[in-house]
Amino acid sequence: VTDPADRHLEERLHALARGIRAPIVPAEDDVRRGRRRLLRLRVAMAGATTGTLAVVLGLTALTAGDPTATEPPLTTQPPSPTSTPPASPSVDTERDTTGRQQPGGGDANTGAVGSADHGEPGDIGSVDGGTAPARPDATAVRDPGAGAPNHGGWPTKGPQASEEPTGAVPTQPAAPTPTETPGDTPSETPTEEPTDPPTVPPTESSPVRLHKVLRYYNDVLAEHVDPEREHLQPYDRTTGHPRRTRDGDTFYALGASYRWTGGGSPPGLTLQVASGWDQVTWECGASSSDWVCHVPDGAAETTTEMAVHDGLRAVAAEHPDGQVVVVTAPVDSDEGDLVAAAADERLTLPGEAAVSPPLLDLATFAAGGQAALVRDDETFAESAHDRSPQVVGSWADDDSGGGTIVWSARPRYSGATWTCQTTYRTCTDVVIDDAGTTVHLGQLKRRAGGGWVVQYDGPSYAVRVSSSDRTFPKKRAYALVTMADWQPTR
Amino acid sequence: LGGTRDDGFTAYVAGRRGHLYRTAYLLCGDPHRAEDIVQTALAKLYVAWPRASRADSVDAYARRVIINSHLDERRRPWRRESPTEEERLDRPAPTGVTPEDSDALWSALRRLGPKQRRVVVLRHYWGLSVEETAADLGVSPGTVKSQTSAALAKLRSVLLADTTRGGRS
Repeated sequence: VTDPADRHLEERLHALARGIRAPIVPAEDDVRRGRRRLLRLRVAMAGATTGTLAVVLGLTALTAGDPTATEPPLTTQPPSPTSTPPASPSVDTERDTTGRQQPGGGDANTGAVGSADHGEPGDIGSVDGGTAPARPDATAVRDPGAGAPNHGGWPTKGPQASEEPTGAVPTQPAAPTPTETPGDTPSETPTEEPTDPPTVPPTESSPVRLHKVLRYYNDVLAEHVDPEREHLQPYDRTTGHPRRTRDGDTFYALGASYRWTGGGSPPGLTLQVASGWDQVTWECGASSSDWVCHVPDGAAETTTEMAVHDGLRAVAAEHPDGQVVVVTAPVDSDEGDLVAAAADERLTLPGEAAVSPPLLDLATFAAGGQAALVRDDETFAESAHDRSPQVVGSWADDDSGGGTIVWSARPRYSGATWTCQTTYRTCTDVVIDDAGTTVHLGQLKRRAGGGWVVQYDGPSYAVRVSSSDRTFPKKRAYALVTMADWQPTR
Repeated sequence: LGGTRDDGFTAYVAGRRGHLYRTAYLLCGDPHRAEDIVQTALAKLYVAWPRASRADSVDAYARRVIINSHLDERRRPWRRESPTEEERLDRPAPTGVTPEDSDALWSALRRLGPKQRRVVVLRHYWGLSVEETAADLGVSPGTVKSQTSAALAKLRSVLLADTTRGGRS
């Protein structure tokens, strides 16, 4: 800097800088900060390296996992269940074209999603929305004679396929709806001929490819009902109305509709594969149902049933693992073909399937309930029942006491559990014996019909008794709900 | 290895921290931001110490880190506000320069843009050549020259005007 003015400026700048008092900071502080920064950098680099490695390995695994080449042979039983039921499996559905009823031939009012009379909209499984399906209200059974008050309502939980309409059953495959399809989409198009037997079941692949599974179901059905593929069309995701009920990775139900061309059978075939009777629409055994049911020739009553309703023929078959398959077809369909199709154990839920407890026998449950709840000097007139199981009736004694009593059971695995509802005035837990057995007691509000509800959440079933008469002895209910007979295990 | 790094770094910090702080202060004109810049720069320097210590001049490395840290500081949204004049009111008058001179110079420096201020600090406080300054700032020597010329012209005019006002008063 030769310019005197610039040199003067430089001197002033240095003088100014000398006047700046630098804070006294120990060098150790800077060393410590440096070490922390160094550590952060190293951790970040290690994390980035690990993440990159994971991504690379994941991509490698995915690209190497071509299901058409590596899927294992079919096994029929998904992983075994746990005793703790899931909280609220979700239903993803497009539309069920078969019907309107609840499982196990049960609740005739299952179309009433949730307990509307409780003011709680049912947790309907929205279309691929992941919301919880609703559990029907036990007292909402179609029972004009009983006039059961709202004292037995089950909480609105559980993986019930409850979105289907309660009214008319479609007689044709429903028109494509604008609702979204389930998220699992296979990345490949079918390449095999429709008549080829399915040799590589996709039910064991992971992740589950929903449409691929439904296409596989279609192939299995075709083997039984239309081997030549003259009528049954391959699965079409745009018209198949896939319907699923699941909680996370655990499947409770899966189904679809398949088109049937020619042959005077326009409605097509509808398939439901479910973890248990509580997950399918099956009205046989319900007192209020107009279904005409019988046991097919050669089939065991406890595992296979045939029903004719609304111009359709339906068959339900319980597989050895507890899964239930319902095939609904035109009424002129061959009964034997449908039975064989429903019993085909290749029709199994994909991936990790929920496992239901054995279905309680309605007759045993009804008799056991009546024996426990009704004394000899009292009267009981049953007004409704279904195979969920549930029994509704009127009780009376000589002292002009009386009312409606309902006893029912719901499987725990699909979410049935005690919930203190808003229609309950009070909720208490009652320890009924020295072993510490606890039952739940809810006193209903007057506007909800009054009375009480007693429920015991057992390992397999949640068993409930409700009475519209609050003076009805609760101890009888305690004895009934805690009976070991209602807790079978598979 | 850690001991070697710590020893060399500690010795450097003990000897040059004040100079780095003053550089940062001249760049940003704010004591707190200057301390932030220095701390950040020294932390970066610690991480890079093995490489920096092998370089010809640790000072050059540290200086560039200071400049870059200053740039980073300015880019942070919460740093975009300008410090007020009052921030220096509680500072003692620097020795060797009158309070009036100090205020006039500070005012002149504040009126420079960030790029011109960096050029002035590097060239007239650090005493770097045009080429060294250009290398530090990552610009061409021509840019350094033009910015130096413009900055000095502005400083002269500001200082002259300030001196004139001081003379009138």
